Amino acid sequence: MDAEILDCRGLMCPMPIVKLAKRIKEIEVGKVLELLADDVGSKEDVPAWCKRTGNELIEMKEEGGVFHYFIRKK
Amino acid sequence: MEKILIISTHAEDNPEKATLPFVVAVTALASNMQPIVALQSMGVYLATKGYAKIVHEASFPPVEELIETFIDGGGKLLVCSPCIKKRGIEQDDLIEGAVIVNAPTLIKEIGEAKAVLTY
Repeated sequence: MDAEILDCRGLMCPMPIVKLAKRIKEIEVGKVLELLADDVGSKEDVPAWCKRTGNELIEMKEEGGVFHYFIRKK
Repeated sequence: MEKILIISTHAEDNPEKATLPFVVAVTALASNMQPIVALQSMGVYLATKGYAKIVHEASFPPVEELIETFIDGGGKLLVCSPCIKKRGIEQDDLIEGAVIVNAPTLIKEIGEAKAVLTY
């Protein structure tokens, strides 16, 4: 998937969501961000944030302790 | 935009409880909400210049960074007037963006808020 990567590994709550919200505002509608996070809480947090803000969570997966979230700006 | 009011009463006496209000407030900003943080009791020290540097709870971002993110993002920071008077804190001692208020302003914000949280 052609997506810009936003690496938030190692950041403490709530900074991944703060950085995600900031970057989403900057990109064009329809573009996809791939958010990388290593906090297990993000599995609930990112879908909740997408639902709240109306952005689309296309896919989420875990690879080697890293969570990947593909989010399309709406 | 939905407004939430977060009342914070802690500073160095309880770094975790001093930090959590700003974690929630900053997340609210990132979630298209309009958060207001009202500092009361010991919490007012967080609005004084330089103080937030000394409050840093493990596993959380530094309070100073959270407060800066909150103010820069358009968050509203209210400071209890009698609480600063009894501690000898003046307007000039406060960080930019802090607004000194009394109970009537708090009551107005409570009336307009979708939720009120207290720490």
